[in-house]
Amino acid sequence: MLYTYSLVMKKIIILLLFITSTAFSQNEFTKPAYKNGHTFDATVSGGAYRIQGTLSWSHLHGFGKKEQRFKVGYGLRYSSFFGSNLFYTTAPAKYTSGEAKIDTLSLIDAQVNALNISLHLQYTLFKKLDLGFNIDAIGFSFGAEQQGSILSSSLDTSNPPVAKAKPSAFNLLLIGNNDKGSLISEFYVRYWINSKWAIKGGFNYFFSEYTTEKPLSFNNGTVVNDRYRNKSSMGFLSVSFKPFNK
Amino acid sequence: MKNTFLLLLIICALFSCKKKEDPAPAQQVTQPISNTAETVKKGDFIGYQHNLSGKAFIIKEGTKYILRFTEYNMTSGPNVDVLLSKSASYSANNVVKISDIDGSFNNSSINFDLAPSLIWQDYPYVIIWCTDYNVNFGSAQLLNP
Repeated sequence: MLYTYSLVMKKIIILLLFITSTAFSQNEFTKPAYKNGHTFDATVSGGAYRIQGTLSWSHLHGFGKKEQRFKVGYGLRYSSFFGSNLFYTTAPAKYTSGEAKIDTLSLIDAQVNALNISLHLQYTLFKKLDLGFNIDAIGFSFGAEQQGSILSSSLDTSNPPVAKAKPSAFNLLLIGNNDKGSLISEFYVRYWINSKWAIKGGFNYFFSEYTTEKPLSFNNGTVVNDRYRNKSSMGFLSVSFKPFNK
Repeated sequence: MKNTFLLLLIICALFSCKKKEDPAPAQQVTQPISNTAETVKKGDFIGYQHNLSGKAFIIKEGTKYILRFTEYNMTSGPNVDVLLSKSASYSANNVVKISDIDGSFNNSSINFDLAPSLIWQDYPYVIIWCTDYNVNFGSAQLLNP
């Protein structure tokens, strides 16, 4: 399931980058509409034992000669995630691909704040209805240190079975399990109530990552790791606002 | 307006006067062990949560074996289990549950009978594990005395 998701994400991101580069290389933007491309969103996401609030700004550029149904853009997203009793599993791709060596860090109160630059892709299906996808690309995270319990049959005895950890500071989108840090991707449908206000709903994936205070060794030192990731799938609702639309 | 303000004031006063519930008092359990009992393994608990501390023993009493805690301290948690484990850290495949352990304990001595069929020698660690929240309260490695 996650492998399929990674493949789909990979294709979407490649498409997104291609369209972005194509769009910006064209001279077909309708310049007066630039100001109208700003959108602000306030979002609440939720799932089992987890909730997330995000505030974001994005700027979308339409391209094409007439209707400009396709839009691509960029944005900035601040998110604050709260999770209870979550499992964070081994993050580095070198341990999760092939012969997987997955260990788990259990956190009672996960709390990750992230500020990321995001990439956006949107298609206007009807006049008032948008379909879209966006994903965080790069940024940073912060949050309080937590003490987690390690769930593993192969933790080397030189390590205590608990570890202090805090959100990984640096976030970078690198496709699938190569990602670093905490990143959101979002699929949505947006309905414009009027020219300024819209409601948006959909689902998102939030990869949050904690780094332990010290690397932990497993399997007699064959796995030495300090990065642990949780993948949360949540439904969300947003309010969107375009302040410069008339 | 005046009435609304008064109502808010009363609500604030009610909530600010709400007394915090006291945690359940710690019990001092003193379960005896016979004079003829023999210590087979022993270890000291390292506490990680809920102020856990104490000592753990495997005791041979006649033909049966007992897991015994002494000087045992712990504040209560939800759904806490006493586990014997093959590894220092918890893994569902590596543990066997010996008992629940409910409540708070102060300098207590507690015995847990080990099932005759259990090959306890395969489990050199004791873990006090909160199942609801997957939290390791503390563990002890059982060594030769």
